[in-house]
Amino acid sequence: MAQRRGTGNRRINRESIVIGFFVVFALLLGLRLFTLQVLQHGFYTALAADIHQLNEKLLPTRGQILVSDPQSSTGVYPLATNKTLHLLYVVPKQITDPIAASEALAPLVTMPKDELLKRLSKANDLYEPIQHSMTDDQQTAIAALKITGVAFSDEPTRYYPDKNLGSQILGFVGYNAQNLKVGRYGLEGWYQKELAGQQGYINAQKDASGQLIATATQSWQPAIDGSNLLLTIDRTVQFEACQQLDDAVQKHGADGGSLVIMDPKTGAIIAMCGAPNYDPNNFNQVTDAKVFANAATQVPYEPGSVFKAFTMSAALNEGKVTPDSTYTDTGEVKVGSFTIKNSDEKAHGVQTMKQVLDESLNTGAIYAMSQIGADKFSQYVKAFGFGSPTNIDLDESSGNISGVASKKDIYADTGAFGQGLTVTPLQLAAAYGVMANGGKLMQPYIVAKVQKPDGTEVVTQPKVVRQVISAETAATISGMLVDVVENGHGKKAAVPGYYVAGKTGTAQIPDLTTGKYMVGATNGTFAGFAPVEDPQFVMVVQLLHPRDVQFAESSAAPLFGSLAKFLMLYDHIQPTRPITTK
Amino acid sequence: MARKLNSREILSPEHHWWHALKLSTQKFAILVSIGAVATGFGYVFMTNQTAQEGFAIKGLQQQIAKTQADNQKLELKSADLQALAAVQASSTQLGMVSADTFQYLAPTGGAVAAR
Repeated sequence: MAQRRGTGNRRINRESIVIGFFVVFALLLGLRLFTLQVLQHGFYTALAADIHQLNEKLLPTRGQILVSDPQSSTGVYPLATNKTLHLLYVVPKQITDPIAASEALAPLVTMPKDELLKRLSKANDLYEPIQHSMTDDQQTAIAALKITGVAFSDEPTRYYPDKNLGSQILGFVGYNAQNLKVGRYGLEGWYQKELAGQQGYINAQKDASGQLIATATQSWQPAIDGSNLLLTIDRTVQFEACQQLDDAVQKHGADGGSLVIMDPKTGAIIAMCGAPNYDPNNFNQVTDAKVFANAATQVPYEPGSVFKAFTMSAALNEGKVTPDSTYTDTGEVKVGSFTIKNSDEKAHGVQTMKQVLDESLNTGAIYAMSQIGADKFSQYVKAFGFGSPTNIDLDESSGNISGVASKKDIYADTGAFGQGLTVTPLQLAAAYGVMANGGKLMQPYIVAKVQKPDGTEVVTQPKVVRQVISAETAATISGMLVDVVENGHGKKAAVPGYYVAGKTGTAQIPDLTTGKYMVGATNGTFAGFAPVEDPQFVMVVQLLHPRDVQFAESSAAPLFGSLAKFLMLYDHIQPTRPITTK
Repeated sequence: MARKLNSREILSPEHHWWHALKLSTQKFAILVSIGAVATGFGYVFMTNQTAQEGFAIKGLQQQIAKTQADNQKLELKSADLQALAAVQASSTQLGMVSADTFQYLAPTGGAVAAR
């Protein structure tokens, strides 16, 4: 009996153990399920969504910036294009021997060996970027090492094959405050919306193997690629002009310079350079952000005597003077407490208006201005386009003509010879274009057409802003400017066989700290056009504070002459008179 | 007036519609089986065909992507070679003479080729 009872107890104990085991197991299971389904609900929902959901941005290809190139098989050459480079990264968790891996990688990357070892040694780390913008060759060399945990991802990158050439026109693609890639400065910035295109997206579901489930709900919007820009720039002229400008800046020890070459009949920009400039491929290595600004459109300065051509045009157009009108140069003009002198500080006696430009007489410019009055002069200055943007498709400054606009005598007097007001080289080029184009001011433009991804094109049409002076006045002032090059201070801008019109400008530089002009420091400018019978180009060259020469006739004028000669040859322009070398 | 069949009569073999085709139940079953097998094979064949086409399309897409990538590389290489700084650097090795001295010939009246 006792034995049977004992057997029954053992059975009860065994049943209890089994039941207890299952109860504990059920509790543990319940606890685990509670943890997974309640406590970690968010995590696993996200994980499942990540496995099954595909939510991706579809990135558009950025449009190219092109120039016409008849030599190329495609007829165009890319000044800005796209290149796929590579980001080298490591998964330290997968690297078994960080020391050996860093030894092998160090010679192929720019990161110092110590830093590399430090990154590779982060045992539980899943991602460490090592180097951006690696080329295909660098990628191949590193991949050949076959180091587990070393990988690459593609990086779409903006690429400028011609490097510094036209960098201040192009700008670059950098990051904005939201860490997104956007165009900065130049055309990259101005046409950001057109170049960038439109981002698309895809929302779909994937199966266990990562393939899209065709029958599942999905939505997508294709990316729209950016438009291409075809510029008016002539690449050969741009190269030659920029190179000569760089050489001149170096030769004269100047702080910098700029240059604009424009078609006076249409306003199309043929070349535009600034010095110093930069390589937009390596914009992050630039130490002085000032070089990002376009020297020809964004940096206003006092132009000096090149402005006398506008003063004289106004007086001629109003019929107040003729090229042979005379005045008596006493060497100085008193305006209130100010005394304005000629640059040579001499009195020249009776002089014609032609001689005023030839000899660049400040007193003569004041005389011409006084014949029409400060009010009228101010109107002409504005009509030539000064004090307002040219509306080119680039960032630009309006300059400052507030002094002249105030119609106070002293500002009108100094304005008559280009001091006390500021202009940009582009404004000067457009205004000289008035004289080369029968008195019409053209709106400068640099984008000939925008080529949209659907094949349509938006072509820029030349635009006449206004008739500033009569065609007769334009012809007269052109003749007077030819005389400047033939007999005046512009001789070094001459091109044998051609009639070149132009004017020098040597301007004092204001010292912004003292409010006075700097002693012995000048900016040199030469503005002109050629051939005068049928102008093919208008050009402005500017050298900032050249150290070895004082006057523009020895700095800017020779550069103008050299480039003008190049343009005549390049454009196959027939000489209009015997070629003689003096 | 025709008598309405009860449910038992409707389900009996002699009232099945295929009897109108003079087919026995057994023969009909064989035909249905053959049809099913043929449909099955047809389905497998078509699926295989579609899959093959899919693979071919995928292969072509990969080829296109590779060709596009190669094309992009070639275009970049071409642009690099055409870069004016590169052209200028290589042209110095050609020993070309500067065309500084040249003369334009003005057309004269009555000029003819000598030969």
